[in-house]
Amino acid sequence: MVIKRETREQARQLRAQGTPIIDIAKQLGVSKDTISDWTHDIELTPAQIEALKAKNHRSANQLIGAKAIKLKAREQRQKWQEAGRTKARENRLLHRIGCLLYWAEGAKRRNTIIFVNTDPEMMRLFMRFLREELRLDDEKVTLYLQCYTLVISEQEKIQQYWLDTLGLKTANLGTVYVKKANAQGQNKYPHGICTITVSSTELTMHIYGAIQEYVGFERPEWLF
Amino acid sequence: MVNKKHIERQQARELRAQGISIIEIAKQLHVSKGSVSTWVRDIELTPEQAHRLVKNQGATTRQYIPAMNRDKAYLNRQVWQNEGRIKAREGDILHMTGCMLYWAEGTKRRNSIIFVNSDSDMMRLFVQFLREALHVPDELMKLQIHCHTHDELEKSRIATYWLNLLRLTDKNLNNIHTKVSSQIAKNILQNGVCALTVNSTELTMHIYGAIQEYGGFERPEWLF
Repeated sequence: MVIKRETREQARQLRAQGTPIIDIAKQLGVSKDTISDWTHDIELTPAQIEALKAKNHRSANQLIGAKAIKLKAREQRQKWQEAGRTKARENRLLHRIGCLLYWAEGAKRRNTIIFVNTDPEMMRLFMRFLREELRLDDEKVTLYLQCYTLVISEQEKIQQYWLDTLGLKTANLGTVYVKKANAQGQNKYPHGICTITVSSTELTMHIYGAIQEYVGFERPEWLF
Repeated sequence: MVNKKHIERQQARELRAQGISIIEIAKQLHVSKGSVSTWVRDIELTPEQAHRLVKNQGATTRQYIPAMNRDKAYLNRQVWQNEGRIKAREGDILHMTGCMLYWAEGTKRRNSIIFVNSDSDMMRLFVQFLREALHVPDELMKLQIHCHTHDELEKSRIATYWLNLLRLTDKNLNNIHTKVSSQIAKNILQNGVCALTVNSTELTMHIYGAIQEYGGFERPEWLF
């Protein structure tokens, strides 16, 4: 990891000089996203920004188009949140529970529902919420597991445990990660850690809208 | 002819009626503890005598007192969980919300409610739940704040922020910890992380009972 840190420092220096992210990425052989992640807090001088803009090969029309697409996507997200709020007003218990659990445990991403837990009852309840309240097809669900053992037969046991608990099929299984093979983790979490993932901006936004409706607050940053 | 044993038995009973311990009687009469015990076990001691024995005697008598307390405490926890379950059947929305959030975010301790979060709306809602659904008096709420700065001014700003938000006073503030970590944590968690503690086995068990009722499952390990 030492190499990464050095690369990161290099990237930050280049960015501070006003180098475009794409150029830094090419020069260091690292992805654009990584460079962006490393350098997004570096503030450029107005002159540097002007220089970057002048270098940008995109035409004015392209920029207008990109902006329009962005705006449209945002409006769409707003609509989906509104649908979540409407559903929340129906006052369905399981829907409320699912949304509240997601508020507490869920990853606050834009396009993906990610729910992580070790508690089988909580995972089961959340899965029920996805099926019964959000009308989600099982095949949209991907299950990621983290476990504390290197023994393959143990890993398979854990897989089977979660598939049975959640009523899913082998097709739903994503990667099984070994977090750290040690007895402590194994004792504390004999079934490892389970992650449910659903890639759907519509449903993610639906949940965000519903949370705001149930709890009675506004969180504009969830529109992204 | 009067049996020797018979006399000893009479003497033992007289001594016991005066509240003398079985060991003491056995020593005085040169008979075994087991004999004395069978001779005198039907003699009821006055509460004062019993109390004195418990206080003065060795571990034999004292040993079962903690065991008795343990059983009593277990029973109490059961009763409190049951109260939580009954409350859960009333369909109080705020109560359900608080319990679900606690299931997700709460520390699963035996004697304390500990709820940690950085989301101001969630903290506010949880305090509302404690006040209105569980009738927790303000003075029982203890606040701990974790922040990512060493600057005293900034620390007091963060403390005031949380106290105002939760409508609590300086008396509720236990301490402010500084967590030394990355700039990123500082940027994301500008108001630090807030931990709320209420030391009450009764209320902790109430919440566990209610969670099981709402979630529709049994978790005996929460009785501890």
